[in-house]
Amino acid sequence: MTDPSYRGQILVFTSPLIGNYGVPGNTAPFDNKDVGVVLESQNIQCSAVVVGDVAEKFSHYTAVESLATWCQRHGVPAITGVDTRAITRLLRDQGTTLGRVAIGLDVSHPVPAAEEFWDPSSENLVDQVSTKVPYELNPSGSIKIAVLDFGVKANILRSLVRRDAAVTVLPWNYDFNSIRDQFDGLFLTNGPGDPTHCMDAALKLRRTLTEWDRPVFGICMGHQIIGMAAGLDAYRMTFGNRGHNQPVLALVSSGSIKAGRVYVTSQNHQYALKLEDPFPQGWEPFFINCNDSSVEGIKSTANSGKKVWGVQFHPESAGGPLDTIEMFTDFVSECQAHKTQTSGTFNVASTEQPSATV
Amino acid sequence: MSLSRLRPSWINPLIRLNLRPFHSSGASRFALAATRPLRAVAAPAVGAYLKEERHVLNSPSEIARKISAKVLPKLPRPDVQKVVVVGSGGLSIGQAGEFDYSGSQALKALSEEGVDAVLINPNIATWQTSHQLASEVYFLPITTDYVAYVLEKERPDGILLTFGGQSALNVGIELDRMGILERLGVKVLGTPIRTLEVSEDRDLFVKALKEIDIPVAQSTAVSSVNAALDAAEVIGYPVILRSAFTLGGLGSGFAENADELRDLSAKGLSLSPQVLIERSMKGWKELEYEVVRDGADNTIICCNMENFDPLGTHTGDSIVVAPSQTLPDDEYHMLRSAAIKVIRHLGVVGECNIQYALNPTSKEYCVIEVNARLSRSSALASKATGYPLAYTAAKIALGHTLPELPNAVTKTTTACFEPSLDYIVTKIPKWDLAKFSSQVNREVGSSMKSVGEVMAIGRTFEESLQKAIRQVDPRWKGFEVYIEPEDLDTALTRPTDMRLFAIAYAMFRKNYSVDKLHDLTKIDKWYLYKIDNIVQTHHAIRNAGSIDNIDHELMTRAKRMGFADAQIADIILSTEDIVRAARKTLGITPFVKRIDTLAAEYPAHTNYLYTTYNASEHDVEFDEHGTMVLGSGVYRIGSSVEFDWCAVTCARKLRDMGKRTVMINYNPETVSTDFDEADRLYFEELGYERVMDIYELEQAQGVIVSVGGQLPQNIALRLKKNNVNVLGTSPEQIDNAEDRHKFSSVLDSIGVDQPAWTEVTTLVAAKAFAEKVGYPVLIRPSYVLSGAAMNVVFEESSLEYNLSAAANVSPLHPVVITKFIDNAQEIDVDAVAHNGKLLVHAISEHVENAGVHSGDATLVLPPYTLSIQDMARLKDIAEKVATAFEISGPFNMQIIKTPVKVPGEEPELKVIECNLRASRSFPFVSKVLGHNFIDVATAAIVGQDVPDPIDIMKEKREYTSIKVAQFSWTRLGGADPFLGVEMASTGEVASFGKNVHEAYWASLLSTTGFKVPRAGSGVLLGGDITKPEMASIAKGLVDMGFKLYCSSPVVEQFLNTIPYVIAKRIFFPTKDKRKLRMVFDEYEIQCVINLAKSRGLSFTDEDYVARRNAVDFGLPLLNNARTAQLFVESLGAKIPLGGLRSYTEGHIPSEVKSWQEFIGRRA
Repeated sequence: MTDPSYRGQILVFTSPLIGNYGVPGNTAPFDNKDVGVVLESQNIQCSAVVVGDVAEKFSHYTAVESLATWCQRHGVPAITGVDTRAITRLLRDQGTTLGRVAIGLDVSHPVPAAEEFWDPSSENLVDQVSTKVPYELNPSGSIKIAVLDFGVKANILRSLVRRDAAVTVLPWNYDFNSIRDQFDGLFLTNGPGDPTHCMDAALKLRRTLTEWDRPVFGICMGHQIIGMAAGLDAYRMTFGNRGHNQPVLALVSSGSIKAGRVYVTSQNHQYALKLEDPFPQGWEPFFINCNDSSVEGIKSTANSGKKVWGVQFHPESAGGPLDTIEMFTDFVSECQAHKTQTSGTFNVASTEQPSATV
Repeated sequence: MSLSRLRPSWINPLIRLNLRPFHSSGASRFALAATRPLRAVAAPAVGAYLKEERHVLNSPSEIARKISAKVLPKLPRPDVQKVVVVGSGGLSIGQAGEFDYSGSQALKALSEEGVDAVLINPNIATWQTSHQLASEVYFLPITTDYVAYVLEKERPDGILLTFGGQSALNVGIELDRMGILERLGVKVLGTPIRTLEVSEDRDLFVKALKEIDIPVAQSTAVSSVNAALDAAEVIGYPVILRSAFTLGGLGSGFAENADELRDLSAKGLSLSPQVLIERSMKGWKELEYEVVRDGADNTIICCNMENFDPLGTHTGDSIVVAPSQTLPDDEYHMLRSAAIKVIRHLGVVGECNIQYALNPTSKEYCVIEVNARLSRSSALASKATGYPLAYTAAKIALGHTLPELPNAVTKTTTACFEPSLDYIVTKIPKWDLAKFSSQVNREVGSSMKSVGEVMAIGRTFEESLQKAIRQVDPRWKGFEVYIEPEDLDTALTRPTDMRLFAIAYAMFRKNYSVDKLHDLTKIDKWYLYKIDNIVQTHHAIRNAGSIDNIDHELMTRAKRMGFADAQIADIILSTEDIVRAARKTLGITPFVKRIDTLAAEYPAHTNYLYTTYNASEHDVEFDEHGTMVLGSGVYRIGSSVEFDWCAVTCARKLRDMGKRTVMINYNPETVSTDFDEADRLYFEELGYERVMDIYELEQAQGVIVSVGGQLPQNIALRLKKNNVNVLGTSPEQIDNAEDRHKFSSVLDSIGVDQPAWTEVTTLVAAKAFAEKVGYPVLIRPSYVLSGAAMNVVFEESSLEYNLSAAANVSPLHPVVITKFIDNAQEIDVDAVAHNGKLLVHAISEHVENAGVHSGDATLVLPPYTLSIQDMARLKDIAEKVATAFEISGPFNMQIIKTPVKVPGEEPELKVIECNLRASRSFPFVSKVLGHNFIDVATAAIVGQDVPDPIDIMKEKREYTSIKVAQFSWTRLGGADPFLGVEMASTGEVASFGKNVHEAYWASLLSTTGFKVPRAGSGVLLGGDITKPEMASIAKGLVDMGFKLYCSSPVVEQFLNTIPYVIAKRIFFPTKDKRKLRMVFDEYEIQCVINLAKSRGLSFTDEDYVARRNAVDFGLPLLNNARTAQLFVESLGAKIPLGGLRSYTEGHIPSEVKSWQEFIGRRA
């Protein structure tokens, strides 16, 4: 619910029993372990919540309030006692649907006309959730990573910080190319909505990718941006992939990932990259979804001279399985390796590269 | 090589490898093909399973399949043609019906692959022991020796060890250790032996987990007080001390510091040579994860489960929910990641289960244990998720990887995924401890005591909990007050089989708060809050007062919390029918939902269904109008896997006849709840309310109530009265047979004899009747205060005791008294009739005399002492009864044959019991005679393709089969191992032989844990010396070189008067188990024969001590004169043939023959 990717959505939980363990306090320190919050962001990001059977009383040692009071505090409507399975079946058949929550007397009001519904996908949701100003986390980290924030989940930042990275979070459309040489790697985050709203970012990234050879890693929206920068098309899936049990098949071995292995992943996306044959020069599919064969990851080919990956799923989980969490380690190690490699030829890099980017 | 496989000799082995799935499947495999087609899979277990050698992702997407073919590892699949599957033997506490399910699924998988499966399992009542599933079946002991003989005889290429519980696992490890597998070239498929060893050996296991930094629960075995203190220093206080060999955990306890531990360990060590010191994790949460891993290292979690009861209660004795409810995402995934790490490290290939303890106030956890095999929990997980774990594990053992296998429910997607559940399941164990005499300790703890379990599906915890409560015992209507514990706080702190109801009492009557209950029970507050919702709703209904005051909102609320109509009726003093009618008037009816493993994300093609009130639409259409089959419900004493065999057989027969089937059952240990055994499976309650709901929704053609044991029969008449089309014998006739008065007058009218009986309401009348017919008499009180319900009494004083101290007799609680005929022989008749005409019947003879419950008795088929005249008269009785009750379907009678006083006189045959339904012995007689009684019964019930009558008892047979009861005395600390009119066994086994002695030998050895005494060892003899068999038993044992010992001077004197018999009386400590153990060791006593006349009255009764300790020391116990006699005779027959010799290469005993070889065809 605090994941900015859910911005503007009415969340329907398939699991009927929700709120059992309450909601924990949402403040954490800023240090080399934490990034200020316990959950995925400061606020509830979704527009409304629909559940089968909410727990009015909760039980967990970390909990400070119930789901209901938390929603109330954030002014987010929530409804319980709903046949969520019936809604799921409807959504399965017709895909993500515009909807409204009606309780009590609301039900007797006439149903609004189709055009009266607010369609979140028509807006640039990324712009709403992305940070407005750059900020830094764990400045004492041993490598410097820039994060383009399309609606970042705190656990992505946590996962980087805990691997000893100094993280600079930039607004989604920030002109990264102007400052790129301060960084050992670039990370593109998850985010809500239609990636075509972020064409600007994709175009900037295209330049980065052609001119800059340091590691780049993208997740979810970030993956789609990388794909678009590489020349692939993004499209709206009928239903999307959601939940914590999406199996993906690795097609290439890289770092902790082994080709031919199936990983169980956490996902939440409506848009995906088209599986094209052949792939653009210098790129290859990294993962595919076992169920619908949608592209779940792309990477630069071994002989392209680049270290770029994107994955549609969420290796950082929270929630979800930790099968692919080591991809963060892979990314950070690649950045480290690149840094060591280039530090040997420090003079060359520092004198020649800025001039090339001007 | 088996006869049944025809392999053209010209096929080059290399080519054969590629062709295997094609040429070895199909009809040619069965050279001895039966006349009707045998199918392993009722409907395809999985959908578009393509038998291809290519390594391809099972995906609906063609591109995904194409791409995956390039990257999926090309794992070589073991080249096996014939595989031995080791079963688990008789059902016992801790190893029950779940292994019928897992073995059956493994056999389905093998048969799909075109592999010949050879099954060893003496449990004749199981579904897996059928030729539909296995090429060959051996009804032989699950022991190293017998499995080795079968391997030597069958020469398989592979063996599956993880589908038959602990028994099969132990045998496998031992066979490997003895080098037999290697010598015979038998590959262990699936999880390697080394992994099994590591998971079984505590030291190796702890070491293995330490290598990967996974915390593990440590337990140190010590045999001195000082060692205990040292161990506690290492582990850290508080510690728990467990005594290894004591009654009901006697001497176990918690110690907070060294002083407490010193006292406790001194006490514990006086009772047991060894005690275990463990870290106390009292109050921690207990969780389980079911893990699947394939040979390519893909690892997934199928399901996780959370125990309602905190750590300390065996998971088999805990209430369990799935998925876990009180774990946030990070805790869930911490344990999930650890599970994957552990299972990869151990190298499991297939399925396994990992148990955790989790500190409720931190993220600290530790691993309790890993079961590197299919288990009870995996059966539960399979049923809870719809993921066929055993089937998948078998496929993995055959070299398939998860991505290549299909999701069995959606059929189009891959098996390499993790199910998501949009419902909650609750499991509650069934204990049945009251059945085992009052001596059994009711506390539940580290050792499992339950005999079965139920699983209920709902969309709220309240709904699934209340459903489950009703499933455990139909007398319970929901979460209500059923007991009033004297010491409530103790009843809450120390878990017993009734703790849930102690909580009910505390909440309803004593107003205990959730906080207080949590302090006492350590049960997570979330569960208690939910239970409190039930309590509050109960109060709201009571406050409404009458049905008219229950409005739509309150009725909806109650039904959504799982209240039954009958429960609501009780609260407002109304009737179920009135509540049901009012509810339907309000338009409140249940909805049917489907279990599809993916929370509706992908369409499912199976009909695995449940009902719920927490919904607003159905998942299915009701357009099939199938025939409903009611299953057996929970396994309990007296109703077990045999009724599952009946239900599955019936449903399959209906499908063969072209009918759509609807199965209802709620027992997760069964095959009938496999979603591919019927067109629609309702995992639901079997009470009147739910069966009516489903009947009305489905508009079913009819309901079959006679293949699921007594439970469905109980509602038959009510269904009929409410216009349900009950198929087969009329429910009025069922009622006539069950009502003693009606039954008796029917028998009188057709000239069939029965023992004298009466129903009395006063003690005086009881005495008068007993006086008239003469003692002994059998009493059957309708209201029992303590102890067993039924008893044989031999004199007036015990009649008085039994009807005053132990049971109540009053006009409200009448007692049925029957003349008990001493030394009478008992006979079981199983039969099928159609429209009152007998179609087929089987006559089995009991070894024990009447007085031993037929479920505990030893059955011989064909009979070995009955004359041709007896057989004809028995058939005549069966025909008369069939006609009198207009039977269409199965029925069973127990008949006694009175001893003949004057030679030449015709013995009397009296009917003592008659049930117009399938009985416990239906699978036994069907398999022994090679004639499926349920197939015939199903035809008779629906009146289609009814076969002509046949007298199969006239056929001469060159073999005998004997069914022996499987007891679980070891698990029931303190219980007297005594056979009486109340049934006590938990399962049964049956073996074949060329004669009675060979068959008895094999079947007795088939009972789990039976150890053959060494030649020349000691036998402790005792008990009732008035039994005529005592002398011949003693003489027989001495002749064979056994040494006789006894504890009582009376027995000593008696034995020593027998010519050539010498018996020595030994010092016999009745209170000190340790000393007794030393006495047994000193005299090398390896067998106990104690002819019990009645239950021991005190814990120091010598006969009780002898019987009980035979069980506790793991020695064979014979407690009945007739079976002891047969045992001695069988020993006499077997010893010259090397019966006491362990496995010897090249000397296959004559009983090692397959079912098919014995009966001459594939039945």
